[in-house]
Amino acid sequence: MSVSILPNASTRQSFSHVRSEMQALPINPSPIISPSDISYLRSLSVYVSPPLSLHIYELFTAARHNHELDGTLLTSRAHKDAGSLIRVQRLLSGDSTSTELIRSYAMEDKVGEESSDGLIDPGNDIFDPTQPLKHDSSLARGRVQGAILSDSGSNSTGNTDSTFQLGSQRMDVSEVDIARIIPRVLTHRLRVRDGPDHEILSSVVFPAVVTGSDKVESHRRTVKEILVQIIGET
Amino acid sequence: MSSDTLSLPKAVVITGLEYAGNPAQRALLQALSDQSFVLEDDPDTVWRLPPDFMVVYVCANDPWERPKIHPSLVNPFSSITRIPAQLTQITISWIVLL
Repeated sequence: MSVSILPNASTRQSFSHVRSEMQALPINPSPIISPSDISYLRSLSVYVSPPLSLHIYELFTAARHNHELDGTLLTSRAHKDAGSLIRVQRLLSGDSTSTELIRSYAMEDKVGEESSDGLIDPGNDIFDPTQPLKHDSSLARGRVQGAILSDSGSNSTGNTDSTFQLGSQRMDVSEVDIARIIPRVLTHRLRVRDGPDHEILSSVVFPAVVTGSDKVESHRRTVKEILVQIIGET
Repeated sequence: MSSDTLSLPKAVVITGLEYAGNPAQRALLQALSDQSFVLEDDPDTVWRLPPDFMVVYVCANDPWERPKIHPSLVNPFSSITRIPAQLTQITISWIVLL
């Protein structure tokens, strides 16, 4: 099956111009991640443990059923995308040992300062879509190899065979990877309801006909604020 | 006949999609779901999108609303990144990946 698209006259002209030029375009000489790196990365398996997979489901459900949010576009495709993107995040810029959360606790202990509630504030470093994801391929590769070295070192110290079986290496997704990716997957699919009178069960409280004096004044929180709360509480 | 002589680019960056009409947005959606399209000029040629084809959509960010495109068109976009842009009145932009 295919679809018909009718370009207007000006588009057609520019298209025929592009047609002649397109073949002359050089292929990007240095891709960010080289093809050999990509095939190498594909050979690694990233594992989402059942509790964390459940955690992803919980975050989706919490967002979908949040009374302030309209979650009709949180589809199964969104969930599938989230799963893939979380694995990619783990592979390319995740922490090699999946111990980010533990380490931050350890750091706190070292400094001797007790955090007020013992929780990491997801509003600061974890949830920040303004921060670009770290996509340094050489860095990623270094980390990946670091992970493999540390894994194999801890597993089999007696084994002197230095050839690593890449296919059998496993990387575990951490909660931090999930917290980094989930807002990016959810934010553009959500909108904040106009007010309490637009929520699902609002007709129980609010009459169908609203007069001027009955208008509900409410503070609309942003999608980001609500997601930060959801991730913090789930 | 399929067009093998000229390959389509692997990625397209779109902006202003919210100003395109409903038919145009639906056509884009259908092209993405079919992975192919036909130009009305040349109905015999079926253009196939390359595997791993990617669309990047740039638009202004509204912290309370979805991008103002057709709701079904939101779903193909997997992920967003916010980029602070100082050039115009728009302070934050969306980038959405297929």
